[in-house]
Amino acid sequence: MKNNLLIFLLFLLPGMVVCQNKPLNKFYRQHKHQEGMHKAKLPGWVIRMSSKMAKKKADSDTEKEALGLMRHFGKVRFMFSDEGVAIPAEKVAKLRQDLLDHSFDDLIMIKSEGMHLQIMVQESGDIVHNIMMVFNNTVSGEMFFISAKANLSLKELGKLLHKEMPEKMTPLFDLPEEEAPVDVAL
Amino acid sequence: MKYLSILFALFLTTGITTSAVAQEDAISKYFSKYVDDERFTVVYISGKMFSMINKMELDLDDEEAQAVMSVVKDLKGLRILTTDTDGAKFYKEALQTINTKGYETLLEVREGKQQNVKFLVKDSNGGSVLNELLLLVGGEDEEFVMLSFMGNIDLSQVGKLSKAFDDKGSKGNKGDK
Repeated sequence: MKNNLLIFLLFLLPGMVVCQNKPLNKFYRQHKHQEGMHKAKLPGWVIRMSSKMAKKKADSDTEKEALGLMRHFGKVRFMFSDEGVAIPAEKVAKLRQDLLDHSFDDLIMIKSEGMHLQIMVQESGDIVHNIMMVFNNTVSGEMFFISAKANLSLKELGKLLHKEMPEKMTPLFDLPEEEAPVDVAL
Repeated sequence: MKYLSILFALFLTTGITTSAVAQEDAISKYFSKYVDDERFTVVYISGKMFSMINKMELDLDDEEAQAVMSVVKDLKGLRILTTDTDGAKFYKEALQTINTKGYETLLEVREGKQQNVKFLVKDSNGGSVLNELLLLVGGEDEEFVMLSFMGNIDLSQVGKLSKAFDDKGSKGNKGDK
């Protein structure tokens, strides 16, 4: 009986994975044919193959490691528009709500005067399974959407950042030089 | 008797936890109410963001970066809500929605109906750990601002952070000479 249940759950698993992306699929399907919208879909194997090729030509170790992380990415979809085509604010708010209901979490949300930037992830057990970013400006009509399936370990990402961070972060921690007092005594 | 005291302690702990969660919910609720309102500017950095940074297990050699990470790892979220319209109305509403009894006032400025500033804090561990910082600004001539910082901000870590920056500053200055 236990084994039967296990087999049944294993059969359900692929279906559950597909279901988790339902809101993203729906959002992409609904808006990709809008006039002035540019779109592209890259299958996982294309990303993995091109990252492998690029890795061979990479100069630095860090670059190689960063490209190595690309092998953990699956299908990537993006669409963008800068020709006055924006998505109604309610649709983006609905996407956020739907994703929250599908075990996604907010990372960053910024909304101001018609602009909406939203970054969300689906993560479990230190592994990022899905990443989604949408930038939508209903005033200027700019829109950018990207979603990527992944199997990215936070620890691996941490290792890469650990190598890159000291160089990239040093300017942030560098304090401005204090000006030497001017001797005005004559 | 021993079991009774354990039960009582458990009951008390549950009560404290529930009230903290309820308070957090009041702020979340107020924030959620206006998150899709076009009149508001909203910034939200979730606890997930900070917990992911923590999970990356960044092994940093840099003293300043280490100090920053030690503060960041226990943060649970940052929420900012601002609007130019009806500052007084939203300020009043926020004070009514959020029960400020559990907070200690750090700073309060009131200038008639024109300007109100309230800076509240909730701490634990005898004041050495800040659990929440809440800033409310609003008035008739003022925009409305709500800033809520949640997490466990260890003041000794903040001290280390400022020391790390001071050391770097002084080393830099010595190096210049």
